Amino acid sequence: MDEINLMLNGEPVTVANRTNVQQLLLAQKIQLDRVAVVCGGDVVPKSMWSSTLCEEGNVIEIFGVVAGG
Amino acid sequence: MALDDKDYVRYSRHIMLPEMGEQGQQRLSCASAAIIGLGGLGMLCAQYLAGAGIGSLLLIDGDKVESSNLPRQLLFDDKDIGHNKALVSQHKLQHRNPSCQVRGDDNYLGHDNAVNHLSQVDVVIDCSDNFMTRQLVNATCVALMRPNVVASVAHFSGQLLCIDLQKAPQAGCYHCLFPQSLKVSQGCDTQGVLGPMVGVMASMQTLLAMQILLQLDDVQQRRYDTLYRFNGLGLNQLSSRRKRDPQCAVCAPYVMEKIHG
Ligand SMILES: [Zn+2]
Repeated sequence: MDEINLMLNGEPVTVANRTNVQQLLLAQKIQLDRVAVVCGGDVVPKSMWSSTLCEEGNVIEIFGVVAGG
Repeated sequence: MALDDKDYVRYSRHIMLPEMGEQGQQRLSCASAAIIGLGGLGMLCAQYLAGAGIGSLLLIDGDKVESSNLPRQLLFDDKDIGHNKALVSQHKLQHRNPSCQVRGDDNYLGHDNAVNHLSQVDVVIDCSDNFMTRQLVNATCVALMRPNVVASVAHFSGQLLCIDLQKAPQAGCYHCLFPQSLKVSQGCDTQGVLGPMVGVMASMQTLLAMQILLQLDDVQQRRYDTLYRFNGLGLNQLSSRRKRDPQCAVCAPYVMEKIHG
């Protein structure tokens, strides 16, 4: 299987097999210094992005920090 | 502190809760909390906690009341404009709830006063309005091993989490989730906010703080490792499990021994 399908913020996305989270963000033109990532309900800490591979069927959420009060 | 007859009547709706009872009300009357920021979130948390019979409250904010605060910061009125938020809140809450010891500090939380302030309380409630202060509250609470209940709001987005490295070292700290290098685009000053949106987040934040102070059963074992993200347009909430960042320098000195034995 050369490609895997996943959901990114509710939208279907297809990426190459063995794409890691950091590569996914870059491919989607998402600024790395503005977001946090959740995969399958678990936060993926930033230092793990490049070692965490996307898998078929992953549900990935990307969001910024809210700081107001 | 034992409850007297007046207290039984005043707090009867608390005491009749099987999860709380007389013991819970007594526990609350001996408890203390610090509220960082007396804006939309903080002024509501403060009112709920003082009204509920918490023993003491420390209110910290260097900011003054402005007319643009009044539509959502309902503790304040036109006469308060120009006065310090922490001191106005202290005055009003002390008057309404004489049994609660309310103290206000009209300085912003900073490196000079953070440890002194936050070491005095059982729980810290972060209601600040900027990312820098949130990082300072986190680092201080991590070092002091104080539970930190964090809420934030802007536009129709709200975030809520509770950090306690003793209870959940594997979930890490605020900096594990949102490192200091992160660029922030969501604040009320630039994006706007509606009063009830702040109210929802402040209410859930206070509920979490009260769960901790009352030591209520953590039924789903998720109190200390969950990030809640509330969407005020869809009225839905997403829950994610927080994970410690092994590279986080803020909490590393305090959790290593806990995780690795
Ligand atoms: Zn950390």
